[in-house]
Amino acid sequence: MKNKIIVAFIGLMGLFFFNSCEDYLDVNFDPSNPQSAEGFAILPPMLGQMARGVSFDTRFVAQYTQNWAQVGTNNVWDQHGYVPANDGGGEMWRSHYWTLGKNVDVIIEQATAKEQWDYVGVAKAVRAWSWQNLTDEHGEVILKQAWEPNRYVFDFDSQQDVYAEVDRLANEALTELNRTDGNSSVASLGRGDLVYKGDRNKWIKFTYSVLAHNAHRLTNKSNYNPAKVIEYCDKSLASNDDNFNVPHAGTNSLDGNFFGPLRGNLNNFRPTVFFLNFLNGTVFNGVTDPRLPLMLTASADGVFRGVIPTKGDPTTSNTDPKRMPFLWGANPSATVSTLPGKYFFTNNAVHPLVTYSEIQFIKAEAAFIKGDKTLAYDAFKKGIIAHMDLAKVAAAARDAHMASAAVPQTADALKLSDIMLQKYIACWVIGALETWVDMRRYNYSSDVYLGFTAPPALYIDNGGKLAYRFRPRFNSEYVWNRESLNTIGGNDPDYHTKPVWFSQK
Amino acid sequence: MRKSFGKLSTSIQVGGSLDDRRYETTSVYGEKLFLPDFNSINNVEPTTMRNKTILTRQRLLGAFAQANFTFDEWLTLNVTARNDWSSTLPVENRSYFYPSVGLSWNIMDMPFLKSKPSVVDFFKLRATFAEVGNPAPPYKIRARLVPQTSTGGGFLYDFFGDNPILKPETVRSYEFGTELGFFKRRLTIEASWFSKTLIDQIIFQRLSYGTGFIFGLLNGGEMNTTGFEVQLGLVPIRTKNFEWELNMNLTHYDTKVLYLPADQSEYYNSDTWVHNNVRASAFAPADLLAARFNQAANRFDPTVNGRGAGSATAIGGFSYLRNSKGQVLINPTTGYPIMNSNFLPIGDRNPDFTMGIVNSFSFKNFNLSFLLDIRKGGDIYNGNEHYLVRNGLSVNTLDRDVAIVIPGVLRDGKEESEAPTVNTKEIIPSANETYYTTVLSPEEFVEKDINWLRLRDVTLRYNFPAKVLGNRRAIKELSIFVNGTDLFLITNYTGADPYISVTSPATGGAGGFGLDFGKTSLPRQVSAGVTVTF
Repeated sequence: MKNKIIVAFIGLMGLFFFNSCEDYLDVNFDPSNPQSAEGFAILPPMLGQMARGVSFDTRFVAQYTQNWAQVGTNNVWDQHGYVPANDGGGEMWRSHYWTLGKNVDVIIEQATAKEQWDYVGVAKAVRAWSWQNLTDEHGEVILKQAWEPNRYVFDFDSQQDVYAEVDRLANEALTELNRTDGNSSVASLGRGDLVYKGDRNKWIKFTYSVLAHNAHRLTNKSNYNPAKVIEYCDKSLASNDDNFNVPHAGTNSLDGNFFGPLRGNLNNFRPTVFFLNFLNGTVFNGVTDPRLPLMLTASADGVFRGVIPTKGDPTTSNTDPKRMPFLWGANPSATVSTLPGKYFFTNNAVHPLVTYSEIQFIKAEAAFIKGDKTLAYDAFKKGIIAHMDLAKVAAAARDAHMASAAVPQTADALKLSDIMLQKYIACWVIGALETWVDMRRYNYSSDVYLGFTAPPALYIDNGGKLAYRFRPRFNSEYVWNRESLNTIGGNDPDYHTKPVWFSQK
Repeated sequence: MRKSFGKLSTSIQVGGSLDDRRYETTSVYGEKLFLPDFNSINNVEPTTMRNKTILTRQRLLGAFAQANFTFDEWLTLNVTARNDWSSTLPVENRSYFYPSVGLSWNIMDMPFLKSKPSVVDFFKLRATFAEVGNPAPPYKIRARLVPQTSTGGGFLYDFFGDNPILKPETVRSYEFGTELGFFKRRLTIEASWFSKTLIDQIIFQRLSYGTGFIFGLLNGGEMNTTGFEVQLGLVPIRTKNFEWELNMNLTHYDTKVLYLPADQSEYYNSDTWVHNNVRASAFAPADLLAARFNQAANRFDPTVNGRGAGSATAIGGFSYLRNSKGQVLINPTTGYPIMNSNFLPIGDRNPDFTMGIVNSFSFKNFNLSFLLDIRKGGDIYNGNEHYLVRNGLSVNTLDRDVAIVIPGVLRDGKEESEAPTVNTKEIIPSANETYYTTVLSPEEFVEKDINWLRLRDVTLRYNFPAKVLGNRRAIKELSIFVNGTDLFLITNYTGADPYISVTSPATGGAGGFGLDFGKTSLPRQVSAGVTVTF
């Protein structure tokens, strides 16, 4: 009997011990860093990361499109090549999967619980936009297995699948953004929304811009639907006030614009002759574009110059008056960090990820393909004017240029190359990926891109072909997901020249 | 608790343990001290005051039992059992159990041998099986959000992914050993063989960004280390005035990678990646690498890349791209070899064995001892030479103006055919600096099978006899000595010193030995001194 009491006593003690133990061990929550947070705390850096992915990769995209080229000779990106075993051109990959990535899910989860449908819609719109950019840059990407818990090997999915996902997600985003129930409000969304200040209508327009891009990239496909594209454009950005401008405080290199002098990323880039010729009258009937001195800078001798990709600036001495200046508008001997910068290349400049001008050019091209030249011409003119306003061209100079021989004066006189070249100017650097999509849709045709020539020397592994995609990020897929790459030819030496789905018939 | 049953004596112990760790890091920052030389955060301009805090808590509860059974003083069995509960694991996996069993057999103490005269002084055999469980680092089963410095601030996920199904890791080991003593201990032998397997290793593994993170904290990877250690003690001469004592030890071990976390091809230590494209890596076995790197642009070459495959102490780096026959592929335009820019094994740092020999001679009050340190095998990446060559500073680049043809076959589309085009294109290295800076592969700078023999330490000592110290014994012992360390080194390594590591021991893991970059040789030191014992 006595023993039984002891046993029971020990048993009770044990139960008590283990119950309190569970509490005692429940200390695995980081008291210094949150493990979840509401949308207003996640959204601001996500908007910054959207611009980060685009701007980091723009360095190289803009070399492929010949927006700019290196001041030195034989740069491999100028040659339509790539740097092996390097993450260059893999920033969007990083943004999409990691810094936007599951952060999007945190917003959706938190906002759904609080019935903040505006946050849910914004999160989905951002992810749709990101898928679109990612696949336009890389072609095949990880779609269906992305973010799957406890998975370490990921299959690549076709670009066609990604396009369908963008359409699906963007439509879901629209549904959420259009909801009138729940706890959506300008004040609540505005807390985290550095871009549109909580204005849901602008997010709806942004979401339509994603759909417009998504539908318009199919010009080479038999099911291309220009009417649908025009409809999306009309529901999209309606003026420069609707531009998707990611702001930058510009107080230090961490919160400054990627293209600003504080970051010092543009030291070695110079505009190409190809681009200069659109502004200096060479291509457009001898008329100098008023945007020339606002976007570019002349050498000390007053002459505007451009480089031929892979050839660099032939003038190498900074004291030579022919030396090409920085894109920040100063001689390369200047102390970069103290320069004020120029155009969208200043420390506190916004990064416009989508512009009204770009949407008007998409509409113009769609209408042109549809055969509605009047509509095309109208959108074409609106596109130029909107960009001139962005570049801060004075109204009188703008109107004079619109009436000049550089711009077709009737709808009938409008050519496809007019639309694509004016769009090229409007998207120069700030919309470099859009330009690259366009150039690939037209297979870099010099009939459309007047004056375009392949770089004099192509990269050794290209086999004489121009680039059509970036490789997936090296220190992600090439090191840690190699086997899957084999299935899409990602390890082929000329993989970066393999046409993407949208560029093919 | 102790109890004896005849010749069997037993003891049982039970206990518990509680391990509670709390780390608090507070950093403060302020500018413009009001009072000079008074260093307190309270003494700064209030608007410049900044503060950051990190608090880490980690708790572990343990319950253990140990039983010891000794039979007639010559056979001992030791059994332990332990269960731990850790705060850092998911609730359903937080409890884990691990046992150990050890058997020791003291043959010379058995009744029919004991107290019989014998040349054998002692003879022991022992065998041990043990498991140890380890918990995870704190706060890693759920990913955390960290503050951002971009415009508007806010939070985004950190590098580390979540893992809600994390399990404890287990180290399972077997060891067999023997101890032998002969001739009144003038000859002693100790030998042991061990095998240690790391199962469900908890490790931060870099992964595809498709996970949503940069690193995953995983249970994964299995590595097995086997090895042996032999120690031999010998006193060849022992007379009244003279004694010669010899001690030798020989160690060999080998860590094999059975598979890596998330079934990856490589795991590397980022602290060791300090020059060019070379780092300390662990690689999956050769057959797996060969299957994964089987394309024209990334081919695993068994001859070059096989060394270090399946090893935890490999050198990972770029190598030349080769065709399936192992011929180096040459760029037809430049005449330069083409790089395989994938991290593959290009060497194995693990030595065949290491050995130490201590000789000690005593004559009257003099004692001379020296330690010879021997290593056989193991590869070294000579990063210093690589750096010098890349910068044109090595004497091996003096022939830079001489035209050469790099042996290999052209990558002209016929490289996989019956008759590949043999390279005949002459190049002059000095005509294009990229030959040295980027064309040469790190595999050229891995020196294979490095051996060394070094005089680690030599000491000559004179012990003053007791009578000199006087009767009061205030000083118990007094001696003077001359000591030299690293006086000579014989090696086939062309760099400064093969005894190098690119990291400090704090890095952990397999370490950075065998990677030579920016290091100088061990200094020769001679010292003299007096040793006094009071």
